[in-house]
Amino acid sequence: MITVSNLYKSIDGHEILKDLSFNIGTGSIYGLIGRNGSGKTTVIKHLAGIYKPDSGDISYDGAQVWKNPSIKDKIGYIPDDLNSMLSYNMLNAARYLKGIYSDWDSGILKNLCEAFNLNMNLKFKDFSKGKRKQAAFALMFSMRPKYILLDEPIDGLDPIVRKIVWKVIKRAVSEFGTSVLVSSHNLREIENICDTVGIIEEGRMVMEQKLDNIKNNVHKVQLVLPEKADPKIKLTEAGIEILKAENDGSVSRIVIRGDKNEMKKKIEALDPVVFDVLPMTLEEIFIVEQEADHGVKDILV
Amino acid sequence: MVSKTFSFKLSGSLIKEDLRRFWTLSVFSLIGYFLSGVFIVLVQYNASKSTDSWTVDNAASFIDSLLSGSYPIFTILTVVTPVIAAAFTFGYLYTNGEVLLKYSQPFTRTVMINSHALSALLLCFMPLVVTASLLLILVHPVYYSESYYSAPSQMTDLYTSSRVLRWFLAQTVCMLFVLSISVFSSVVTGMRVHQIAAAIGFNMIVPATAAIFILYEEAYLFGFDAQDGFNFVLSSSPVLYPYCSDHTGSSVPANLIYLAVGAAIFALSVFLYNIRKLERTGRGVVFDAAEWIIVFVFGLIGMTVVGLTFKGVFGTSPLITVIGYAVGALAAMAVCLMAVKKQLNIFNKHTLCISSVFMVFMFAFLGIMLSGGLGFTSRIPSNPGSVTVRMSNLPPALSDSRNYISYFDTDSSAYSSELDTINFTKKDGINAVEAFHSMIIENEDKCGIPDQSYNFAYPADKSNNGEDMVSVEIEYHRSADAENSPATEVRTYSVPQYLILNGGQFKQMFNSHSYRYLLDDTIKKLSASDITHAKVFNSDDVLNYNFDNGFDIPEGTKLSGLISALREDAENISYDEYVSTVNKDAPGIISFYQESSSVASDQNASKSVKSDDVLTESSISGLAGTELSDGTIEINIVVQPYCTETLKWLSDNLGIDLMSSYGSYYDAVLIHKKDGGSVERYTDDINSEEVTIDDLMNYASEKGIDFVTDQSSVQHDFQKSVSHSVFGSLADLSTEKDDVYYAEFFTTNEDGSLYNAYNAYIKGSDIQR
Repeated sequence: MITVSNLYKSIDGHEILKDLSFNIGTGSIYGLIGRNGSGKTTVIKHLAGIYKPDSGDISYDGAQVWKNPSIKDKIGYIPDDLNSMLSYNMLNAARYLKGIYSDWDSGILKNLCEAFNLNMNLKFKDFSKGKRKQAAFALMFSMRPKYILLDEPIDGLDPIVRKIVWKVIKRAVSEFGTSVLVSSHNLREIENICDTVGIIEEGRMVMEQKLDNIKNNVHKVQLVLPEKADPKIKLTEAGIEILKAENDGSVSRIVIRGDKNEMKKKIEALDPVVFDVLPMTLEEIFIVEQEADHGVKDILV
Repeated sequence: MVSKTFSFKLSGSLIKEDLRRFWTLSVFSLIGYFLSGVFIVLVQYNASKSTDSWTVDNAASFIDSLLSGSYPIFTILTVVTPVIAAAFTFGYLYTNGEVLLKYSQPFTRTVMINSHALSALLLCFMPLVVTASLLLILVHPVYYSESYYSAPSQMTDLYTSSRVLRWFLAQTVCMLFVLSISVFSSVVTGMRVHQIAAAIGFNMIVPATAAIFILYEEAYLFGFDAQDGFNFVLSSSPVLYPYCSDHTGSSVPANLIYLAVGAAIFALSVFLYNIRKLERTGRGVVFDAAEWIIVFVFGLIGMTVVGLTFKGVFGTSPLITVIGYAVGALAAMAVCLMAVKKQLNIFNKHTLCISSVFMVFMFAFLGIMLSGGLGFTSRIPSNPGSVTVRMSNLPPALSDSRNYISYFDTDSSAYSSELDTINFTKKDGINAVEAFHSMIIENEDKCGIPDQSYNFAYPADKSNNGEDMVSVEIEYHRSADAENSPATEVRTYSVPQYLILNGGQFKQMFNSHSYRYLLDDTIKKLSASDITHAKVFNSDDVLNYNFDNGFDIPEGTKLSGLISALREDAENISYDEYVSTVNKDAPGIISFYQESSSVASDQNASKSVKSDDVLTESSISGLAGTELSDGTIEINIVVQPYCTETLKWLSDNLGIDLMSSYGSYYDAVLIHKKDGGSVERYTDDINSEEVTIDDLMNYASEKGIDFVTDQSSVQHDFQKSVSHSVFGSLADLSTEKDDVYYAEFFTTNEDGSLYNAYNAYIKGSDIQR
């Protein structure tokens, strides 16, 4: 369990993080979403024990991470900026990291290097951006981390490698109870992997929910009521919260918040001519939430 | 599972990794040490067996400078290697990617800085160890040639194992010191360029700042001893310490202090590293305080450069000088602030406030300087145990009375400043020096700043208005044993010669016990029974370096009579006689030769007899004189015109009349009248060093001045001539002393032409036309 409590950070007089709190459960994947400059990377640098909080706590299973090598030993961190160790090749890097991480597993490295088709003798500076990221993943997984922090992890990765990466992460989560934080502004990627999502805006957490809760709580319906009745009025009279409604000829598409079964019962009671529940992507949900002015502003790409 | 590293203060993995990545630095450093040092030692391995003294001395000089730590290329390597090593091993601090990676790894910050610092140390240390080992393997006897030393007994082996080990230890201390500062620089800076600049700058910051303050003190504090200050500047860094003028080799206390300071700087670095904010990576300097320290130092440098330049150019306008200081400080601080902040817009309330505080502080400092340094310029230390006075360019009478070896020995060691040193240990002498010091302070407007490059043994330069200036150094000691008691306060001045000669205080010093003792110190120690033979040279021999000439005093001559005459002259010399020979050559020299063993016994006897007196090392070495290659000691006594008893003895017993040839080498003299005070000199008008009699006659006729060519008259005029200082200042001379003339003496070249060899003043009543 990773716990972030009331995290506050200002840099050169600018408030970057403001009273930020969230938890990442054991064996779960947390998606941290936000626009560029919202503070995602700063949060991760605190979680990695690189930055010292001005105030607030960050703990891993109760232990502070700041200046705590025993915790850092369990953290796999892939930063967004991979311009480091450029003079190393995979062999050098592995030899160095093997010396400092207690759970190093050379077998994992071998397997992933084969899967990613990485040249062990080529220096990182000669790798493409995508190859560097693959190398970083291979090295990070070889540490057998208990906690994984990924800052914009899939930028530059091709779909096959992404699939491998997420597969390994999911396996680590399910088999070893690894806690994972993924920072991204790509909601489609997060949607397929995360258990919980937090939305950060200007250093504040503006929304945090289990992905299932979000998906179970917001629904899009396609509806035609008898006698050309106005669905917005009828649904509102039935006690259904409408987030968004639009008409396409006689067909209305309405986004509703609430329990799915309860919502179904109330609509069927109106004896609709047409009634379908349509699937919603996470991206659509957040767009609607934003438009409904729940504090989420234009976070999507 | 516990991390492999976190529980240790050092990480072997980090150290191994640094060594693997940066081993080339050690190799290049070793190549540098080898080519610039070891290789030259190898090439010169057999130089000491050479018959060519230049080859021998060249090799000896190289070894000497190398092992004393003053070999510039090794000094550069000692600085550059640790600076680059720290730049390499702490290089991860300056790129975001490296910072993120390194600080997310399982190390405490203390482990990181310790490990990287140790890596840097190993990278520097390995080439040093190899170099020291090679130098040890190559140890062989190396001496300067016999011609280098005046006394063969001074020869010592310059290349010994113990010297190599001392060099190694001193270099180790040096590297540790430089490395600690380089690590500190790495911690406080956020960019590689700034790190390297800071590493070099911080290594120089203390000496540079101290040097700047000394420049101010020298410029504004009358009497401030800059040489002492600059020695402090050099000793403030182990890198510069070997270049100290009073450096005599490795000093254990000094090295312990350097180690302690280096350790303190490293401890501070560890502390700062632990609180270093990584979010400031990419900034020039990551700590605000360090940023401002750098800005202040630059401000101080800018203020000094521009201010002192303005002072030099517009010295008469204090306002413009002050403007120079302000403009220099502000401009330098602004430029530096832009550099460290990496932005042009540095003008805001915060920076203006801090800059204003700095300016207030600096102007308060300037105010203190201008007002006499809190009484420094007017203070005469009270109740000293002894006072040492060093003076140069005083009348040759002063030094010649004791500088008995200076005429003969052209070796530079004979011109040691010790010969112009007088220790005043008795109350009468100390009182006289205090009065003398007061006189100098009261006449500050007539004095100047001593030229620190000046060698006390050679004639001093003149002031801007043509006055002969005397460099005066006064050291006050707490104890009466001036030789072994460090000076508590030192003042140096450049004082017009006429002030010294005519002020009365110098006469008081001259008549003090200490001074009188030194005048006949050597002569008192001469013993006729020890002297094997003696020789007399007249001034012509001396001036023309005809030391093969001279008159050998026949064997069997009773030298005790000569020695008694010399003693009597020395005891009876009056102040007026003493200053009468100002800036003139002496009529002759008597050289005594005796066995070195008898000198040694004399020295012991002297010590036992005069242990409570003012016997100094210089007086003992003076007695020893010059040791010749056959082991004989040569002691030379100058005979001045006022040594009447000696001159009489030489005439009566040997038929030698030294005065007959005294000045006989001048063949003509132009005697100028003073026209409204100023003196028009022929040598000013004619831009030629060689002239004919006709030229001078035409010139004299044209100017209506006397031109004397009669040999006896010229010689007479020379013997009567004196320095203008005997009459007072040049200004006084020009307006008040109508009876004083200016004489230009000429002597004949081999080709028959004349050249101007000596100038002096002469009373009208003394001129023989």
